[in-house]
Amino acid sequence: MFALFLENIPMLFFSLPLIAAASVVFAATHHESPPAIWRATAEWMMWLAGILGGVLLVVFILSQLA
Amino acid sequence: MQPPSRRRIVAVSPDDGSAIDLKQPEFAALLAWLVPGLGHLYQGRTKKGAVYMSVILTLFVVGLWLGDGRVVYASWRPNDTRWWFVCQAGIGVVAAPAVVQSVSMTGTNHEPFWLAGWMTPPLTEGQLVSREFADRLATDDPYIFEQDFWDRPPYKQFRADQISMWHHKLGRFFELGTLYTVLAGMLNMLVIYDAWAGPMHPFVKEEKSSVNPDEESNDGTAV
Repeated sequence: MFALFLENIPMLFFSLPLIAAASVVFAATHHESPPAIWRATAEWMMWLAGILGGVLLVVFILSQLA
Repeated sequence: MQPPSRRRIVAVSPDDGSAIDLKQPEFAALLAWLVPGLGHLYQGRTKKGAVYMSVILTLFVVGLWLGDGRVVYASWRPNDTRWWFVCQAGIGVVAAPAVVQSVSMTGTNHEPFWLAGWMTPPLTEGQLVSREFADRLATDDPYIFEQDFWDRPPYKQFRADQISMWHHKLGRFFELGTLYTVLAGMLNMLVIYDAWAGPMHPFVKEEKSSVNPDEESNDGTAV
């Protein structure tokens, strides 16, 4: 049942935990206090999601043009 | 002046300028490699250590689970060189069983150290395995049957390609699990650096001196 559910999740959603984990680690390696780490995590998530989203958008547009 | 054994190396917090005691940075870096976050716990940076440990280990375990425990293995055979393991090994002791399994498979026993086969490299066509391991695979693995082995006393010889079976069984989750575990190992490299040298400071532009030597007057005083 759960395996079937996993099969139907679009691949894009599997990138979200990766973005979240990378954002936390990137933020924590640049800050020391917890409030600063969480603030920087939010910034990193926006950057990484924006870059990934931008790349996907370009790929999507190119695939439509081809 | 303190003797070398009592030497303390301190980093500066980029947030409030407070001192961070790195204790013995090399030892902390080693601990951080062995178990993500352990180096920070040793340095007394407990919250950061807990964050690193939970995030990186969770990522690695989820990757292993997505890949059915198959995606982390060490193999240096010409037809199956697993370069991903170099990155996965960045997580330290958690990936160490893969090395033990690989060494055991290539040894004279021709079977993994842990017979359940966890983190064992896939069998290739013509590979010799112990009879016990072959029988276990034929019983436990739904993709492998007794007729997949030739009898080569005192061993058995595999006559199929197990990595193809894994790809067929797991589909996209084999790649996904590999990606998660590789990223966990690579992120731990940053954690190791943080334990060794403290937090990375953002790039700060060097401010120009208020006194420009070109604008000095002839008598040497600034204009």
